[in-house]
Amino acid sequence: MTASGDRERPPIEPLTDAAWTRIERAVWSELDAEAAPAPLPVRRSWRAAWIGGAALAAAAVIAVVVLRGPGDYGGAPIDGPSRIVTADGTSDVTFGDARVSVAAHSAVVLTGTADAGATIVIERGGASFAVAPRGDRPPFVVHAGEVTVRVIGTRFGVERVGERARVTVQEGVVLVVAPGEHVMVRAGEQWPVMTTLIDNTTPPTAPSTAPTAPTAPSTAPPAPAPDTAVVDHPADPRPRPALDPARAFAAAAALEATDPTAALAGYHALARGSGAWAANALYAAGRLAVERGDTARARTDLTAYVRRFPRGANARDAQQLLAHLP
Amino acid sequence: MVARPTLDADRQLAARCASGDRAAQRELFAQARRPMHAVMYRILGSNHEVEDLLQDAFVSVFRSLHGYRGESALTTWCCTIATRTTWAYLERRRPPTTRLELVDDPADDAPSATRIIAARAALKQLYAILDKLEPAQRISFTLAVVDGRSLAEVSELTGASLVAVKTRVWRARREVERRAAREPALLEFVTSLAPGDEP
Repeated sequence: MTASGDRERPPIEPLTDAAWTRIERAVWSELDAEAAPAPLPVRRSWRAAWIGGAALAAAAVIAVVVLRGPGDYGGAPIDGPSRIVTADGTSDVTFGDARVSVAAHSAVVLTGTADAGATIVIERGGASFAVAPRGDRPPFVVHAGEVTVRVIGTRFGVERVGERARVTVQEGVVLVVAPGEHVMVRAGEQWPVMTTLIDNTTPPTAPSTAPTAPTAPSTAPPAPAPDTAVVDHPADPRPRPALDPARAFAAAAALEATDPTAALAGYHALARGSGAWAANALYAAGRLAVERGDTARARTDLTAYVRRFPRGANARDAQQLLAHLP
Repeated sequence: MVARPTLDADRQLAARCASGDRAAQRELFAQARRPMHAVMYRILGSNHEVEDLLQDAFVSVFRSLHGYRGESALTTWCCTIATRTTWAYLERRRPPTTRLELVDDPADDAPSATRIIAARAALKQLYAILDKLEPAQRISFTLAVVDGRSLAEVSELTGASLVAVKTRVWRARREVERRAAREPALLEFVTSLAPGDEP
């Protein structure tokens, strides 16, 4: 919006690039601090499943793919945007010419118009879709973190995992757009192709190999509890690929010397989860920020640690570091 | 009803931002930063405190994006939050201060140097007077009179009715002119700022 009228107005002194950089950094820092979720209740006896990927140690949520049979989904009006948040059960909605089944413990935003098409944003959890072939129809696009799925006409499921996602196609084909990748995923295929499988029933080892591990827990952190929403997946009994949070922590720690920015990102991804490893990662992020002289980042992370884990193994250290920040 | 393409794009961008998509958030930050800064600067008259206020406003923007319904341009919606953030700051600010950091001093040989210097002095006096007004009046006056926005735009930014905005601008102008009665240069400057649709 600009000032109207053609009369000469007093000038507006611009902010310097440095000031804008400070503002932007502070905003992201504050949002990141808020993004760390509170632990969710533990689900029954389902084994935790952690999905692999270098920066994917965030909350893992497995979506149910509960698809109706193929049918004609044309005609339902779109009155977006709508935000659907599910608790223990799934929620089925018809959105334009698509049928959407939102998994338990998920949050999905549906936006669109009949002319412009639909945009679905998976904030957390997952959803499955039955979408009429697009052809001349307006686009149907699903965003999950930094992954975009452009629908060509199919039945498919999308599960958000941190800033990434997993796409499973039952029928038809979708185009998946992720940083550095444009992949057509066809019926019966899954993206990304997982190669790592770790059984999380095995307790993780203490991060003793991590060269910069924070005050290492005197006892190994408990096995990563299935503290994220995990629901049954009867249609796909195959074991889930996973990323051991201990390994994720060690990987981040190993990067500190060579790529501290990546190490910090790894810690933050892990810290978005819950449990002992999230605590370790959040403290490690704050400690690393202190070492790098990033006072604002350090203050944010350490404050978040103290707030989230007041009785954590590193709570005292975090408070001491905070006390010495300039 | 066929939605306007730009608003559709805005809704999509808002939805992506609300989902935590950092790339989308950066895009919105880049789009909205200058308009939001312009609103704040015009209300406050300087960049003093603007850095912190912009940070607060952007955090509010990203927290509130779920509430964006695409009824106005996303940038305009962001400017309403910038306005409210500045309003809240003025409400709690005690005592009022005026710091003007408008532009570099004009070169001595610039033909309009005298006029610019006089305008700067008048503007500084004006904001000193505005410090004494109710924030609601100040905001309406600065956006409508100093910045030259239409009353409808000010109404949208402040969330007030058109009638309320007109009343606030009128009262602010009356008070400014009363206080500037002994300052002919200031009075002339204020008079010169009258927008087209000011009551």
